Amino acid sequence: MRYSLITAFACILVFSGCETEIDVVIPADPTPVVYCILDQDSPVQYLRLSRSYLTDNASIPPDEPDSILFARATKVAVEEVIDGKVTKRAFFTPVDIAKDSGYFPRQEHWVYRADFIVKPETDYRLIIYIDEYDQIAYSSCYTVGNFEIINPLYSEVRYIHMLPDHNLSFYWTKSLNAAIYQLGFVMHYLEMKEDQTLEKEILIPLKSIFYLQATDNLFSYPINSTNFYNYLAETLPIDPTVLRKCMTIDAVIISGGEELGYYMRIQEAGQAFNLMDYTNIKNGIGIFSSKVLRRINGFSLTEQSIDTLAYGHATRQLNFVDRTGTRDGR
Amino acid sequence: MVVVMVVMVMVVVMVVMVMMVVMVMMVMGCRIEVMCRGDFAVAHSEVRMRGYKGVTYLIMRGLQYIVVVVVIVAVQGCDKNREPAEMQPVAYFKMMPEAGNTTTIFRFDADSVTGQGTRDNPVMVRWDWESDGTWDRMYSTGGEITHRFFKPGSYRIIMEASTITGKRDTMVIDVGIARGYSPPRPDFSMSPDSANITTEFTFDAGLSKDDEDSLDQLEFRWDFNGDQSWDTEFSRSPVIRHKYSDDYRYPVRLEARDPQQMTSVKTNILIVTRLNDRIVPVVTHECWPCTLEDTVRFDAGRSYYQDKPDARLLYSWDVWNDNLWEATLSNSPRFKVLIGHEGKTKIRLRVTDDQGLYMDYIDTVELFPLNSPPETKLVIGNRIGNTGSRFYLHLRGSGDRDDSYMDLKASWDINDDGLWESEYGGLYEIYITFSAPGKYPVTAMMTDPKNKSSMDTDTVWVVAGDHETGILEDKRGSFLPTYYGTVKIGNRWWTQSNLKYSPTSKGADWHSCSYNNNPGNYNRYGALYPHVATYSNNPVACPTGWHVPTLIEWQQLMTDLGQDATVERLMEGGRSEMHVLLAGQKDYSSTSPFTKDKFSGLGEMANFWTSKNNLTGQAYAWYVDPIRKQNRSVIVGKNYWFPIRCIKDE
Repeated sequence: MRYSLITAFACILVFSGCETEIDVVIPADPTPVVYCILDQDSPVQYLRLSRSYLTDNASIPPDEPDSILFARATKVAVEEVIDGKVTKRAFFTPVDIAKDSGYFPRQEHWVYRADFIVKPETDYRLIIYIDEYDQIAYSSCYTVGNFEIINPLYSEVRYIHMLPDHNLSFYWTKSLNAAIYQLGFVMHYLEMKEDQTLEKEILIPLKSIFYLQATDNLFSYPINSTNFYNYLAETLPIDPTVLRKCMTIDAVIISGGEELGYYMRIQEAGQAFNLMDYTNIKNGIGIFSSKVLRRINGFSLTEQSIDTLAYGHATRQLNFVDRTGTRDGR
Repeated sequence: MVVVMVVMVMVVVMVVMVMMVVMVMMVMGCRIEVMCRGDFAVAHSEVRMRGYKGVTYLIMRGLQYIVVVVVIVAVQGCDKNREPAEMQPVAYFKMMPEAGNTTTIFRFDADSVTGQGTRDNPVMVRWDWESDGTWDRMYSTGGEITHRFFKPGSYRIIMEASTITGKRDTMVIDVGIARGYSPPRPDFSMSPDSANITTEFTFDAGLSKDDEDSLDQLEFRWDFNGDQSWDTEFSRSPVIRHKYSDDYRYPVRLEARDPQQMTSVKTNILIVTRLNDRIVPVVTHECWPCTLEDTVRFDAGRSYYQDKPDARLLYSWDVWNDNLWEATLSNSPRFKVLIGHEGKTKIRLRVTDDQGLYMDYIDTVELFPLNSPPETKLVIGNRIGNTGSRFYLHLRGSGDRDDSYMDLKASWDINDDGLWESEYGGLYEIYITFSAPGKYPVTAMMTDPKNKSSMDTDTVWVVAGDHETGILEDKRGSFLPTYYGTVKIGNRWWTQSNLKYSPTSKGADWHSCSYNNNPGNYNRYGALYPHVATYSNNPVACPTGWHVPTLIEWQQLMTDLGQDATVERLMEGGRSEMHVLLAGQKDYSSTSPFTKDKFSGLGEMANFWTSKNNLTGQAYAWYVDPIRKQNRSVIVGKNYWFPIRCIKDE
């Protein structure tokens, strides 16, 4: 009974004597920041994991360089779950990556890589265990379903006409669990400079379409031809010494999962300091979702489109050759 | 006996007290929660270890909790709106079998633990097989796992269950693992694993393993051709060579034997061929793209034998790649065939040398359908006009399955003389005028690059009239715009045909229909609209810059028409140039499902919606009826669906 009274007294102190004010300047708990989009077309998956830190000024790097990344020993796993059972388990391991130019607080940088094939329309669960803080972050998503491009097709015999009087319409079937579709082209071209010829390609994203509550099984969207030329004009560098030749273009549609749809929609809202950023990571922030890509390769542009690429007002400075393979007959 | 009685009385007293406390808390609305489950587990072990002393301990501990709970409730009160307590996982797992040796693969089942969580808030488990403080198995949402202990000894297995917020519980099982003996696991490599009959193959059993014995303690024997008869005696040498005399898929068998005389067999497939990788078959075919009507000509003349340019080569061909050879061992490298099957077809070329060794190459030919003619679709934007009108005709709805629209060549015959007008050749859209009234058949033809063509004919109607006319382009809805002829009467512009606009948005306030829901009627008479279409902004019925005319605007039209405001002159081809069609109506008033859409009046009369109600909220229409000689406004029920004409904003 003596112990009971002591325990009771201690409880009274604990529950009655709490201070309700919070000290906002104490060091924050490390929060995992996760970016992982499962690529259903690839046998290799990547995950980016970093950690947040508190600062009064975002332009000032953290005191400790280590505080933007967790230790390499952090355990990251993805589980495939079918009918409530874990049927496959893959572990991500860190792989070093080259850094872009600019200031980085630490010398090494890495992302996490795992080799496994992602099944469509399947439950996947992400588990991150941070040893040094004995902390778990968790997320789950249903991967998107396969889909098909209905139009354009038959790249061997069909031409793509990219002029304002003939806006090409993409048609595609529904991708289950998808909430976003991105349409675009990949243009393959040659860059000729003196005796050197390089084969290059450029991805031309034309439209992101959100279907968060889609019920239709067939989607279509007309491509604005003007955007095609404008994007090239904004992206390719102007170099008078280079002659370019468009070879073929591939039609591309990417479908992304519901989480990615919500995430990108909020990103597109354009709020520089968006306090309500979408996350589906428990005990962390970030995104865990999936995507699948469909691509019809090898379309040719019509001769009118090639001429427009060569001499149109948007792209004439990019030095593309016209339908005759020359510029201005030279 | 006395002690037992005392204990029983104490237990009864404690149970009664617990029940009373629980009842009091329930009456007060408190949520009862399990506390300090770990302490109860300790108490349970105390009972096992100390007998009745443990029971006394348990009773005292229970009384302690009761007092604590009562004091807390008394001091803090109860909050009925408190959030549910965070889930506390309870660790438990089964091990199957419960005992075993170093050859046993144990199955651990913690599904009852992971089942305590949900997909969004899972309970995860991790495992430490040796209680060495290192978790051998990271957290998983799956509860089933297998493990094998390779060393005999005593193990303490720890399983920890955890929520993602860190609520945890553990369970421990001690198990003794005895020494076991397992048969060897033979495995071998073959080098090369596929080659022709001139090759001596090397077989290496060095991949074999045994859990208890080293490789040099194992013995091996071989069956090279899979005939179930061992071709060698047992030997400690893991490497052996063999050469085959015939091509075949040989199941090669290796048997390994350990010092305990335990044996196992492993079988691998070895492919022995007559392939000669010095032969390089090269094949081309001519047509591209090929169609069903093409005879495909293959040429393997560029095939060669490396380092032996003068080697004599023979050519065999297998259309469909079905092992039925259409041509065998021919001296000629050329071959032609009419495949006649749409889609991709595989053709196998076999190039054989003078030893009978060969190399195959699969060529794929894709045959496209026969070139189909284009589909010509002639559209006249303003079908009726006068001698001053510019008529707009286009072919933009035309298409071709095999060719791009831009590769189609357009031809026009304007005056029905059977000759294609050279000045319009190649144009997909034209503007033309006619100097005299009449009906003019216009024919357009689209020709694809393979000279297949199709034609479409429609009629332009030129009436006697002197009104100013124009064309209205409505780009809403589908890819191709809708065109309307327009006429200026007085100082206002009117459309000369009924509105053809169907909202496609699911969220639209209204939609339209064709008479009898027949698309043919839509093309000629336009659409029928509910009354809501005359005033709704979701969407607006008329194109931008135009609106549904008011009753006053209809009345002003008749005033402006003057002598032409007769029923006859209002009709199609009449001098008013309003070209009224007797489009009929739909009555939506019936509640019967069988007569819900009641259409009437086609070819008999026309009512055009006006955009205003009268003072009592009734709707007005403009009524044209050649049978009853009526041309006036009427008050109508809002249950009707009528055609709409548009008038340009002032």
